[in-house]
Amino acid sequence: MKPCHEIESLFLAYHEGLLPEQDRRRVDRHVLGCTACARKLQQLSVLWETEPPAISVPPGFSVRVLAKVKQRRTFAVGEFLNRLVLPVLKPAAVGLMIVASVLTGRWLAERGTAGDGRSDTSSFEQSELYALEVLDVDSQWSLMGVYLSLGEQ
Amino acid sequence: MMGETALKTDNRVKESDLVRRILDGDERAFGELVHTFQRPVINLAWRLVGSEQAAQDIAQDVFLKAYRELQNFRKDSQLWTWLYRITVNTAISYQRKRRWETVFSLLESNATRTWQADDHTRPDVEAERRDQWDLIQKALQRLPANQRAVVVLHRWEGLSHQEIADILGITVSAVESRIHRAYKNLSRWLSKLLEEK
Repeated sequence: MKPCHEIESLFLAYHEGLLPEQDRRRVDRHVLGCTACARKLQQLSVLWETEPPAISVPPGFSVRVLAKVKQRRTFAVGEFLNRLVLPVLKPAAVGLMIVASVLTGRWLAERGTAGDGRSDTSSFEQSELYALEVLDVDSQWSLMGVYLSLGEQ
Repeated sequence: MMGETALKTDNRVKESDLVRRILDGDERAFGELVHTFQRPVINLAWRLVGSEQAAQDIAQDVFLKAYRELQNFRKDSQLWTWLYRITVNTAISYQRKRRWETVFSLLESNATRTWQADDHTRPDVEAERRDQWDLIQKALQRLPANQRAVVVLHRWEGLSHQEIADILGITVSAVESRIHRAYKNLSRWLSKLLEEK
């Protein structure tokens, strides 16, 4: 007779009706002569018939999924902006600020409002100083980059 | 025989219309897809990994992947087959990355789970059912991932060998061979766990 552990490995397939006829008969013959295996087969069959509980869908699941989809889309657009558009927009914005400050400086000079010891400076220098006062550190570096690139040209 | 959480729709026209609307950017259409398939996807994931929290994470990833890859969906196949494929692959990757967390999750107490209790079943019978299912899950988690997938799809989703082959992208004879090996291993593990009980 086949050892019990060999027959044991066939129990589930036997229960599911997946065994070829020859193996099925082997199991039948074995359990007729082995009460321990007969009991084990019976226990396994009962266990295997257990219907798995279904878990509930957590509340708001589909809402969270949709929110993540939107987030990924926004992130994708943001990445696009960061990588392609901003490197172009930033110097353009700085350039615009320089132009604006030059024009402002000229206007101020014409109106004679620069009475703080800077009246000897040119209007361009006044606008440059004005720009340096209002620009943050990053923009000042950008401005320097623009000057350097203009100088190279 | 089909497990109650398996979902098949033969309405190909409805499905292809839904897919077309989603690809056109219709968010409500995608919401419909999620709502229709969330329960079977979460339950399939849970049966594959044995952890409720992991199943929810996996299900979320499944729908995100589905959204990203919907343009690759072949119109001659069915949405549920395609989603099940993504679920199985995502569950396998998830477990591979989090091997130890999955093992520990099997020790979650029953009280932390949100099983749908059957209103007609007595609490003690329900508790016994959960204990028995825990035993099955412990044995399932000892199987290699590819064997576990075929057993879950065969036994609890009630799918045919051809349907399982379509989902896993393997031949029918490969499915039969895996089922045979899986049941052999599972038999041994369950017998051992029953002895220890």
